[in-house]
Amino acid sequence: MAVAAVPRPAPGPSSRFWAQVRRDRAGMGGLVLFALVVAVAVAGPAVMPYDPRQPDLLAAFRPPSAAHLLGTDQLGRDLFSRVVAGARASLLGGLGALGVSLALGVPTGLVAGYAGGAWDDVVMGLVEVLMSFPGVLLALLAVAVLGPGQRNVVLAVGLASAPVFARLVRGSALALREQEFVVAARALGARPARVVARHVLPGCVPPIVVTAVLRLGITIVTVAGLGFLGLGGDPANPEWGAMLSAGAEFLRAAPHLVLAPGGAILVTVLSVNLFGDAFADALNPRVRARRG
Amino acid sequence: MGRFGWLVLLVALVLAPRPEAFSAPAAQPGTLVWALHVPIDRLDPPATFSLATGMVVGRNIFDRLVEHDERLAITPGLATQWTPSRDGRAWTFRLRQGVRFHDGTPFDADAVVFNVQRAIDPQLRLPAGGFAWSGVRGARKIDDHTVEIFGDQPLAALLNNIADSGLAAIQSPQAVQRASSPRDFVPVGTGPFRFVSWAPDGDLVLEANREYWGPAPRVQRLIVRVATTPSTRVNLLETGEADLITQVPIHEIGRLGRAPGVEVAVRPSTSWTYIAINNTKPQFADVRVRRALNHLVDKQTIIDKILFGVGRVADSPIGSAYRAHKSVRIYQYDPGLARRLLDEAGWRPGADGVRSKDGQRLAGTLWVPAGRFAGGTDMAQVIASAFRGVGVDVRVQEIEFPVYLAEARRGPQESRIEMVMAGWGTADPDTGLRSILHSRSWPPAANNLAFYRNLEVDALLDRGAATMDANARIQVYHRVQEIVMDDAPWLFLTERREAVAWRSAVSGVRFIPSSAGLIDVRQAAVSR
Repeated sequence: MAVAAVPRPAPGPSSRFWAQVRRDRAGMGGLVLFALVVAVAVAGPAVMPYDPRQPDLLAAFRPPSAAHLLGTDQLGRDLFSRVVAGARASLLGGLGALGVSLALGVPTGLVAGYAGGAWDDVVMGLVEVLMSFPGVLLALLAVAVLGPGQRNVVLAVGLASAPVFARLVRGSALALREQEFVVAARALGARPARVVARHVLPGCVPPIVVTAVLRLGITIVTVAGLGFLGLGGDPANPEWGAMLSAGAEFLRAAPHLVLAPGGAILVTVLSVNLFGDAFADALNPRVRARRG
Repeated sequence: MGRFGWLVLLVALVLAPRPEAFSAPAAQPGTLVWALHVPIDRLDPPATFSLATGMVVGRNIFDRLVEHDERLAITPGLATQWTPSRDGRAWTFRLRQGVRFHDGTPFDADAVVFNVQRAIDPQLRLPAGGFAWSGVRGARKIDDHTVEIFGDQPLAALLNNIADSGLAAIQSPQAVQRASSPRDFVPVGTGPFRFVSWAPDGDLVLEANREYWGPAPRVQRLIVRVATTPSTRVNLLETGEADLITQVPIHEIGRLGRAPGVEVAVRPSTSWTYIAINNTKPQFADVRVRRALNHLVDKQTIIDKILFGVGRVADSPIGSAYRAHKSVRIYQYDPGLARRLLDEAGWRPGADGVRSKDGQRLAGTLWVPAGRFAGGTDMAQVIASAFRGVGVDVRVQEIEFPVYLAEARRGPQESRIEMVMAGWGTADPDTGLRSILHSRSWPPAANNLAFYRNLEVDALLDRGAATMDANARIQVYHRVQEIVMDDAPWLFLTERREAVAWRSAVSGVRFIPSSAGLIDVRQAAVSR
């Protein structure tokens, strides 16, 4: 083919990564699906036919129709509008929680891994204790202290998954600390903060990215789970978990109340997990070698 | 939200590894399994307002001096005769003879005196003191089978108060004294069933008391299984794991009514649901604001659509099952009138559409105790939405019941209540109104969650409690209902109906429209 004749520069690590991801069909499907969810979340109000918070009791429990694509809920609110509005809450919730756990976990892990010694023992001991609790329970405990409301739920979920990152980064930092280029930087007189920021942290990025993407699915589900338990604040707010719990009561009579938010959670988390797996495979040298 | 309350909830979640008994064996012959909608918090009836304890423990393990029948008339219990003194300040009870507690100790005047003294002991601060034995100053043994119960004022409500709830349960003094903490409290009464075992949040198991002084129970065992999730109760009933369920989810009443082998009954009760507005908060202090808010509640549509028709629009602070009930008025749904009232009161919409006055926003949080009121959260959302439509910014927040109980015990200074959904219902207008409207009933003393204070109402309520003449007494309470309706300390919502379902094999379930008698299974039978 003529195309093959065009000379191209040798592929760098980044383009090799993307080439690998592109070859993973399920992963690409996930990415496309996720892009769709993000688009819906961004478009938000522009694609909502109704106010998602406005009840209309005379239109309660309508099945899906042209006027109401996904039907209406027990208070006559348009489910399509609520699912769309919920996309924003769920994504922001999941990403926000992820941000919190990165902000807490990464520095903790870096310090523990690079400094080592007593610091490491104390910090990692604490992390091990936290990791022995199921994440949801830890998040529940955090909400118990902080009080309910969507913002606190996000904080709590972030707090609960921070230990995962602390342990991950600590492992990477521990390995990188002994590498020649790090030892060399130290020998040249670089201060610890500079060594960590310039030489250790970049090396930790790939595993952080993979774990973060895989973790996003979990944080989204956990935020929805706490919403399901009624900890997310005003029940009028369109939040998938809260919608699920409100609809569960009417499961026999009006299953669309549960199917709409349930389907939205399923699609979002599935898409995140599919492309998360693809990322993980693309960055894993053993899988890469196997696939050629 | 109280941090402590959430911790309580969390601990409860951790300590309750068993989800609601899906794996429990199907009911056996001679056993009645009752799937109950509220958790049982403890087994000592005078020590808790819990409906579950009153209705289940208080009525089946224990007896009271007097009881209510289905029409709320007073009938004999452990007392066979009762007479008031001429001034009404003392009642003399003739006690039933030959009755023994489940532990074999005799029931006599000493036992009654012990129970009354314990309930009103200011050190113990038991709910029974201010409620079942309200106004009582003491009890005196006249002979082994005669007791006098007396107060400083006439005790016009005493009989209703004793019969109404589980709080006046007569316990074996020996058993009470033996318990060193609520944890090792074993309920020992004279009632038709005796205690076998209890797992908090699990099953309460009772067995028939063969030596019962009254009509013998018609089942050998009564198992009360707590199932707070409504759909779980329906499943338990339909699979035959439960014979009787309380608080049938209202949207399932129609379907269950047509289901083979299942009977459903919707009965009036004296209970009602309202939303207390904290009258001491600056944004809700003006009566015009509170009236405006009442005009924003479309009660009939809420009952039709959210409660599936199971309810009645409140036309008085108390329910129509009371003999003293007066149909005062209904705040008609009228957003236009509400707007005018708010304008008139000086609350003007600001840039964000929310009304304010002197820098105070017309805003607040409406608490709904989770799962306590059928359709509670849905009603609250519809009401809040109507409020927003006229520039009143009210957010709905579900709170767990232990949190609600903790918040409801904060005094006027510390109270964080702005609006809270609440329910009430007793057998006597005194306890029905005084505990939630008298200014001496402000938390933590009692349940005036609106922190309502009207000195005329206070005086009338005091007079009602001391008026022995039945007709004069009703007149007093009519006046109270008029004033309270006018002052609008609450959002008036709906009178409740109780929906109960049982398998067709069950017979003999009675309904007494008081707070604890509600579902009476003392004479229930199961044919299998």
